Amino acid sequence: MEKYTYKIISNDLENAGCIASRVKKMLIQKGIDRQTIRRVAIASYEAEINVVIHSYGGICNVIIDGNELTLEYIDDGPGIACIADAMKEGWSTASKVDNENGFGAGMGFPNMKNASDKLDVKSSPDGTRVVIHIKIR
Amino acid sequence: MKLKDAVKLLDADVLTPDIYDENFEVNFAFGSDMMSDALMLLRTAPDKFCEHGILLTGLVTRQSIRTAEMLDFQVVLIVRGKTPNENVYQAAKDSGIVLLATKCSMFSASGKLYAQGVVGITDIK
Repeated sequence: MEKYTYKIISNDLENAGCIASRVKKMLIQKGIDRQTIRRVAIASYEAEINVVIHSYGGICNVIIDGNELTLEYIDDGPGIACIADAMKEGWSTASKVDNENGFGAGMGFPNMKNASDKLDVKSSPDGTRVVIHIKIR
Repeated sequence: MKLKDAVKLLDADVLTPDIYDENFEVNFAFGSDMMSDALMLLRTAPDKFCEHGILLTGLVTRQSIRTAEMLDFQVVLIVRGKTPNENVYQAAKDSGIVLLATKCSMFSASGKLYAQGVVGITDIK
């Protein structure tokens, strides 16, 4: 099993997506098929952006165990008021600054869900934990 | 069409001349200022779409480059005469993505490309 942990800084839009980029490059080096890499890239990028623009910061764990890839995002709050709303296409609480950076289309969680084999989201005011499972084919 | 023909057609500036391949074939394009829309609609696009496609956007932050990278686009065209800063140029170069800029609006740039046979994701059967 391989595990990598990365720190995600709140509001650091300049570097948002760096972890997704690293993960993508790592999977390319491992020779994993392109469609799987694209799904991982999309899910990890959206999840990372969410932590950057909506949370006080957090971490990302990337775990590769056989043909199972797990991306775990744990942040320090303030949490998601209603997870069911966040899962709806077009629903967003992004700020004007986020919009100016190309985010806030309300497609973050729907994209993560569509790109993954399984998506778990748990949230409280103390923080949110998003776990994305993708099978490596 | 060849990238050099697209550049001429759109009177575009090549912002990353070091990695510009004028004979690179571009047959597809997608335009959006919202990066999540691109990520959603192109999730299941055929490999050739992004690899030989142009991402048209008015977004001049690094996130346009990052999104292109995630989707395997080789070319990003900044529309509406916007000018990205040096960090964006560098990000494009580091990711091997050719960055172009045109004064055309998104609509005009898309129309000119479409008239030359460049198609969008909803045109692929």
